Amino acid sequence: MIKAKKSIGIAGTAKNTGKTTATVALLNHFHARGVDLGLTSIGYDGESIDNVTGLPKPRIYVPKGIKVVTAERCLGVSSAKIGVKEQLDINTPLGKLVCGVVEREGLLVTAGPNQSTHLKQAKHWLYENGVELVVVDGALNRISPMVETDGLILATGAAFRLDTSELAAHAHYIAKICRYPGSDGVAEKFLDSTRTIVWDQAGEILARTNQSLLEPGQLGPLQPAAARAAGFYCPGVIMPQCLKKLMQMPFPDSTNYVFADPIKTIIGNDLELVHDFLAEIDRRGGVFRYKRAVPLLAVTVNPYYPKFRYETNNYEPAFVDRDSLLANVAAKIDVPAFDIVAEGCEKLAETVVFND
Amino acid sequence: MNSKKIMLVPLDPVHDVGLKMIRRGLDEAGHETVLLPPDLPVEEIVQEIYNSDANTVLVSRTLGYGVAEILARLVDLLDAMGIRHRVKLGIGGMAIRPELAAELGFDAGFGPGTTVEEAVAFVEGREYKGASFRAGKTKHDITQGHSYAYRHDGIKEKLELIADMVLSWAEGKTSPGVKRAAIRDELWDVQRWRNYEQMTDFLQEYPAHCGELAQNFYKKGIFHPKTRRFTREEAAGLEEYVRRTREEMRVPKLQHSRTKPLVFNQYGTGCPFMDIAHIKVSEAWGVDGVVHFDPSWGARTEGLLDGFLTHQEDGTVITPANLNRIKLALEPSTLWQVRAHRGLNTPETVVLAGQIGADLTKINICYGSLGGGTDPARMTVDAVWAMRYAAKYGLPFDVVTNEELCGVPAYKAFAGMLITTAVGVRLGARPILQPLFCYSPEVMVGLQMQDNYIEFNAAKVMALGQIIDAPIWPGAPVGFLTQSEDRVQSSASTAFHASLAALLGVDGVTIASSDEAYSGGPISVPSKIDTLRAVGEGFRFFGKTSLAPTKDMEIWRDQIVTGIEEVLTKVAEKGDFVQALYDGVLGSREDGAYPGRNGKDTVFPL
Repeated sequence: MIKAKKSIGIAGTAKNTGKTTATVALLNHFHARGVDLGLTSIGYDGESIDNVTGLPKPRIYVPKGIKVVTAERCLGVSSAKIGVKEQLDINTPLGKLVCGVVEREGLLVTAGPNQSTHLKQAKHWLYENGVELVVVDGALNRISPMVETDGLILATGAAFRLDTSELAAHAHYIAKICRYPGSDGVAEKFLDSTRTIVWDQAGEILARTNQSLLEPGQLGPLQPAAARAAGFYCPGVIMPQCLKKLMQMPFPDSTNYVFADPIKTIIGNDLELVHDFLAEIDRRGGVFRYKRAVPLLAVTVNPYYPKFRYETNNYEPAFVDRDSLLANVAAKIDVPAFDIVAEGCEKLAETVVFND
Repeated sequence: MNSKKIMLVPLDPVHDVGLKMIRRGLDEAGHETVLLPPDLPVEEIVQEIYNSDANTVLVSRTLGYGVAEILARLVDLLDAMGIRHRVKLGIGGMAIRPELAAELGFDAGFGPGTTVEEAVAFVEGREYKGASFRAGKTKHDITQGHSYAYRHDGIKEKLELIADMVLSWAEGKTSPGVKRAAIRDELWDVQRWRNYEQMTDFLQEYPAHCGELAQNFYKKGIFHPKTRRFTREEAAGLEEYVRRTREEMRVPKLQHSRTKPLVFNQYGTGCPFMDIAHIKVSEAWGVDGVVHFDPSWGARTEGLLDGFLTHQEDGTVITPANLNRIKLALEPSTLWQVRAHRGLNTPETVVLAGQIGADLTKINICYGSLGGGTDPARMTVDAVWAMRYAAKYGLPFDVVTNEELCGVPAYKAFAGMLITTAVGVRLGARPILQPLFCYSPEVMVGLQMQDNYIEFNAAKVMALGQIIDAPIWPGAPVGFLTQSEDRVQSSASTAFHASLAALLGVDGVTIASSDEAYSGGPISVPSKIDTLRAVGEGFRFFGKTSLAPTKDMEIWRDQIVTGIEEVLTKVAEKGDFVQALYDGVLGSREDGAYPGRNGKDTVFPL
């Protein structure tokens, strides 16, 4: 069913957008079909009560045989029995990460690797131990470690934005940003650079600057070479104001742009600007690639949100209109959108399988 | 140790006092710190970290909705920029816990109560061990350090005389309770019983000395109407529950900077399964010991039943199997008291508790006779044997003074407690004084507690301390008749009384659960947690503060000591302790004490 070893990240736009619900649904779906599964989390999941709102959260019920990577102090608060096979030399606030197998089914609390490099190690252990599909449960709006996955499912919902058209626009931008492919041979020889570079038609590097571009001034060293550039590569984060500056610089229309991965642009938090930048490159006839592509496979929507009650100084569960939320998002994006609570997980799971 | 470079990031608009305290600790430890201005945008903070060579970043932020996302973004930016791996990231603030830190992507989370030392240890990459009172928990001998030496010559003289009187009176006397205890001691063996071996000799002898209820059980298989056996599935469920709970069990301490008092909590829902759940909760919230409560009919019944039995009302039936299941579920550090004190099975309960592995028991002649409903002669002969067995099995026992609740003044109840203590010491046992910390009828009428609950309770402890060097364990529970159906009030009152016990330097304290006074049924788990948390806070609040004696404390202390001596003089003059009980010398009908009738005329010559 899964053609090659694969890892799927469930990234959220905020807390309470349905990451854990999607994770549990996918686990159940693939477990029932005999897929050898691995589970980890970049946050803390499976607790019964939300750490911030105090409202109930979905629990993670894991069947026997699933392999997990979690912090050792999570084992004691899980009713599932985990047979620990190995301890990784990775510290978390809840102890070292341990790798193991579910020996008795039950509720699992997970707190896995919370940096990209650590997720890579966790994924490696899972693959080494026969796992075909790794599901990485996200945390809050965190997305950075998801660069280590082969594809994303974006969980969004009313907890992120109550205005469904704003929410749909946000999903639309992410889908657009993630749809660009990997470098696939384009500018291959330049992509080991640890600094941002531009090169000319002859393949000669014309200028270099910082790895990450956090402020427009950091693009200064590239300015004199821009007009002669054939390619541009940034291995780090690019902040929106730097993208704006890039568009103003005299790069030829046919320039090849390679960014490290979509996440390093999403993280700048101005998706509309990133989207406009990419559209501008397309309009000019340039080529845009990622060193490492992370495709968006699907979007799940969640009408639930925690509503603050000023009268009682606490939160209560509330919902936006389910149908209009899904319709709005689906109309805006070019990947499938689902409300898995309403329609089940079958089609979502297909996006994981058929996007091989 | 290498000096570290730490960037301190107050994300809160105003609350950076915690970081400032930590900064002082880090500076003193020789580290280099940079404190950023409060409330900078995340991007700017990341830029500062990027441009610095800091290897640790400590962020402080109070949590609110939406804040988590800001903190997560900070972590994400550091990760995406490839600098996350070179900085250790800590987050501190109100509502921050390690679970939340994990969710946010930090390396550590520091909530309220974090010490500067803890933060410094994190920076230096050391495991934080905390102060000694947070370290591993072991079982304590509550009697340790007490010599039982008398400190009051006049009272010593009288107690020695009365102890002789009691022992010579009991000499050559027996009762069905004493006989059953001897049979249990000689013919019943816990190891054989645990191995499912037949106890033929025991079963042939034992029922003949039981009352109708126990005889029906052993001869006809008829159960007490409100009990039944657990099913196999229920027993297996219990074993699974205990096993799973143990997997995640932690046993914290309630005490802060003092080592005393040990804190005891009662259980006795009627159902041993539920009791065990209550015990595990109490242990997990820091209790040092648990006290087994049996049904009131158990005290009036000649003989103990057998089997793993549940009881549909309050009080858990004392049977070998019930006690054994509870014993097996206890954490190694938990002290376990099985009360024997007030009824017709007193000596046998001590034998059984000793064989099963209890740590403590409870024996008192006067309360058992005057408030517990047992005939004074029967109670006396049974208690003397119970104390012999307590010495044999190494079980210290408390001598409770619950007759105060009937209206007996403290000095009279104490005189009775000291007599039992003197007899116990003579028999080689280790008694523990158990004055009540209560709003008793005596003080309601006498107004000693009109202003506060401290001075008269303190006077009681001070009086006992003037008489004998013995362990003191106020109970049971402390704050009796001060608690109401309001759980906050009840928890607070319990915590204040437990804290008073700590300030007085006593050895142990038994606390109620917050719904105990008005539960109208079994005590609930949340109410146990209420009071354990409250007591822990009380200990934290007062620390090692001392309590200065007041004039009223000294006056009442002296009155109690004088009163005790006068009562003992009257008992000595009477020349017959048991007759003194019948005659009201240690608590009269006017006081509210009535000699019990259970077991009347069941004392025989050997």
